[in-house]
Amino acid sequence: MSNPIQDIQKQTYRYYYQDGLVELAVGILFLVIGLDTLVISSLPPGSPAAIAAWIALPVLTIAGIFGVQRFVKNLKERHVHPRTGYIQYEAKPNHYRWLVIGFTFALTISVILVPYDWLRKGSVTGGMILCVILASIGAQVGLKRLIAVGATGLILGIIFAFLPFTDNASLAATFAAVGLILVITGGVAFQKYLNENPLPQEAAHG
Amino acid sequence: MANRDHPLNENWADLAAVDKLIHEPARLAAMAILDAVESADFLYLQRATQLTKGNLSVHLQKLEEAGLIEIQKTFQGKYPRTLCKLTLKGKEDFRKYKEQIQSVFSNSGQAQ
Repeated sequence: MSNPIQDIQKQTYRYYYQDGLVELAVGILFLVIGLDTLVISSLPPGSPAAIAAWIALPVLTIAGIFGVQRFVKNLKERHVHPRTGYIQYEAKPNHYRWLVIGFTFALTISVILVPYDWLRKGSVTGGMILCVILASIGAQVGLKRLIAVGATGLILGIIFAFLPFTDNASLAATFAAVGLILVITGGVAFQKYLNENPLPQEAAHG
Repeated sequence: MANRDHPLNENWADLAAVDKLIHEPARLAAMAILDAVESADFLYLQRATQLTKGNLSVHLQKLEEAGLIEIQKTFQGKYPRTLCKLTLKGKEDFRKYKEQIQSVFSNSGQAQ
């Protein structure tokens, strides 16, 4: 039996992800990181271009994490809050998040210890981690498309493990592919959100 | 001592004790939303509760007068924003309300 109080609270948490902007931003970050790693794995080791791509990787990752937050905040302020309202979420310790981190860590260790070579491939571990993170967020807020993207990430990770790629290349391809899928699902969700929620004439309540 | 056959037995007494101000569906929805977040603006509450502006304003005013929520009028850029948040009393009263309602349903389950 559904609990109306829990339902409306879950809807409140889902609101942050519903417009697709978080997926779009994280997808761009994954795509860039994945493509940079693919470039690294395709270049001769030690070449100036490979070194430059190696240096770019942490810079892109750190700048990307801050960039994602700024990108999402700016677009939400411009397009989402005037249409469907603003929520300030509580910054409270999230035990569920620690559970996911612990589970992901345990999963990584167990994958490393298993005797099957294909399961030890980075793309499988990467796919599993992406699957756990995306599916847990999707399950927590009740957004099925995130669960579907997570499951697709795991399937792609396993497929790439069987292709004749190096370990780095298969991991990079998994990240880039999941990034591309997130960009597409996020973009479609954002477009749908804009179509379904036209800007009110007065833009906000006074 | 409550009589099991009397219509106003313990379950009914529990139900009668719940906070009527919070129990009203529109106000309950607003309280539930505000309990899950730091604050939410009027537009979000209006869309989530599907109430008219006037209706929501009246309900929020009642909650504010009872000291359960705080209403702040701010600006986001050039647009005015009406932010609502639960007060400490609001959080405590909502927690008590949830416990009372759970107790009513768990007791009624045992009675069957």
